[in-house]
Amino acid sequence: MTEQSLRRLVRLHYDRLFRAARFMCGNVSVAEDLVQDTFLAAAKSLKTFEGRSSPYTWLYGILLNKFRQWLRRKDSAAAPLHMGHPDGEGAAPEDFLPSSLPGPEELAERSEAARMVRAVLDELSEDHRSVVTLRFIEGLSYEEIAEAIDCPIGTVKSRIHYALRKIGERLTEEGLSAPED
Amino acid sequence: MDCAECKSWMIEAAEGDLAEERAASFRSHLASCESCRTAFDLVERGAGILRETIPLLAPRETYLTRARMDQILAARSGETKIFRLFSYRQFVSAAAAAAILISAAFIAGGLASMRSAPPDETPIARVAPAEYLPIVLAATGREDPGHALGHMAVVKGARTSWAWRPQGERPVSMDSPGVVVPVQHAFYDPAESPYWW
Repeated sequence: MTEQSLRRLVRLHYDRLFRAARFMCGNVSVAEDLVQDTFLAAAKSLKTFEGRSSPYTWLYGILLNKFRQWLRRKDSAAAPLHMGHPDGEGAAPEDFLPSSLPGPEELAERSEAARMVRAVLDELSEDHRSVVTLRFIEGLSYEEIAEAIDCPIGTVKSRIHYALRKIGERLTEEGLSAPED
Repeated sequence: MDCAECKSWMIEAAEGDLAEERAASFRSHLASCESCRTAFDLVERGAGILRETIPLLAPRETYLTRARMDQILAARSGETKIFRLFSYRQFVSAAAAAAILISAAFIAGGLASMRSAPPDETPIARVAPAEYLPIVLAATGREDPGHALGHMAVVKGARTSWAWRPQGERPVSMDSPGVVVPVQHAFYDPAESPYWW
């Protein structure tokens, strides 16, 4: 792969992969490393890309392997939620949100809810986290997810169902209010 | 609809993706089955809170910085070129020599670093916060602040003191010396955006 090709690949897919990685691992610097490793692995193994899936799906598969390796290395104890800017500096939750969104109290509630969701995500298996990421971060359909992770649609739906129920249960246990529709 | 079928449609229902006919049947079953109603309530609450908190857990931003791109390219270049040019023994010797040189450079450069450029990780272009919107609007004449804010990119260190562009359009440079905009996270590629410098 030429430098120009790699540059293009990175430019096209970095942000999506980073967001997915951050959601899965909950840590900005780990996410950066995972995504960088993903691109380096992709550059090495481009010849193995057969074009049967989209480049993003292919990259996501590599990212998922990197994420699994990272989980194994840290013995599955996931890192705490990092609420800082992607460049590592600390930031308030409202820094992430458009100015049209609610004020400090509601943001504080959401921040608490985010901590709770993060905790539940960290308890989920990598397979469950991956499916939730593809559905809620990437917005893929169940069929697309099934293709991306090579498993039946029923399994995809069952994993999402399990994850959502788990989050709902924790929400109830901790007495947090559900969002208003 | 029985309980098994009801359960199989719960996530679609929680996301509002059920067709009307099936949704009616789904609601009808929930009305008569407390167990499914309780289960669906948990799934629905889970889906709702997950969607609410995603902007905090994984904000939709531009994360790629020039420093990050350089880092990836350098890492890749290091992996491919170094191992191709040297045997393992030569590589170890070269690495040891490089470590000594780098250490020396660090020591020598340490004193000078106080007045040097910002760290490599500093994004060179970022999205401006709301308080700078009036400045940008005044300079650009945009009347849709939400849109302008959402797509605004400001470049620090540009030849003019900063520049702005709506996403996908040519950047607009403005001579506004003294305006220093604290900004965050946007990727800038000088090879593709020569107007920015």
